[in-house]
Amino acid sequence: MLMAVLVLLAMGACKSKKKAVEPAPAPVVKEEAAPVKVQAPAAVVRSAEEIAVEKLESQFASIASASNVTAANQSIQEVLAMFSNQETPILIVIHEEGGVKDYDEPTTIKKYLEYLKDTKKNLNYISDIRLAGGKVTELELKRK
Amino acid sequence: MKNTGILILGLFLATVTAAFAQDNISPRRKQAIDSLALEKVKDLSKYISIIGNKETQFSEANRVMDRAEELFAAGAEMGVSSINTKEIAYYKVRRYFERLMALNYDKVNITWYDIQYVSDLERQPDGRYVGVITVYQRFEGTSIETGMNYKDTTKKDITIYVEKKQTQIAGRTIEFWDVMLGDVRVTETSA
Repeated sequence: MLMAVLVLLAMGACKSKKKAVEPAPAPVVKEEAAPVKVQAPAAVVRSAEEIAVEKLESQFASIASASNVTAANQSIQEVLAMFSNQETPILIVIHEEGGVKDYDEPTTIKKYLEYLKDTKKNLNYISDIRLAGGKVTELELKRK
Repeated sequence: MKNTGILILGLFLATVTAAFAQDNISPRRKQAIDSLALEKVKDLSKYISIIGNKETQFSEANRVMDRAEELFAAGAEMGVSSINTKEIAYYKVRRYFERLMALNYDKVNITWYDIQYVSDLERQPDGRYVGVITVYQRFEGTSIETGMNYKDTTKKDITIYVEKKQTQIAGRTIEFWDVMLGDVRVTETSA
């Protein structure tokens, strides 16, 4: 009788322990699944800024490597259509140290695109972009 | 009297500190400014090549002339030499570009090479940085009708001025390094 009671108690203890342990893996599984669910739509939905940056980087490279003036001018017109106007300011960071930025003389998008065409040098990448109404209103570039 | 002395000492220390802060440019920052100025000279070489090229359309050449002129300080002059004479003529940069575009050749090829500092940018008492960059220019002009073919190589020294300026962009104050090219002096001419 005593043995039967001891066996039952032992079984009960084992069952409780299992319950205490059981919930633990559940959150782990959920935690692993959660990022997958969040990441999937993020990879598809890109911000307007990201799309604009990618397109501009590609167009800047095309203008700088254009084989002739006509091709370069065509790309320039396509890029200008993305901007609020031809005088949109372009800032070029030549150096940054301790949070302080050193700039080249500010220019405009029209002049910058012509610079790419004339010099065939694409020395900068886009470090900041501002959009309003789907158009670029300000661009900050940085030396590669 | 004691307070006045402290005030004068305070003002002196503030002035010295401000002067030191202006001079306190790290080597990396200085290198970035050096590179910026060197890049402007390289840009000029591209512009000169476009302006001189006979295949460049008139409107394009004029537009590039505007860009090239913007690189220079007001009143800057460009030296022109020839292997046929010892004289060196100096023209205002705009006039130089116009003459370059109108050269009586059917084909003109101008290339700049070995572009480097001969005198590093040094801070002047007025706060500006001044240096000298030297370039070698290879000029080749060919006339098909007359069969004239002129070639020379000139060594040129370009004075560089760099100054910190401020401007307003979208309501923000932006401090930038303004690089201006000064006179371009011919120092050597050879065939």
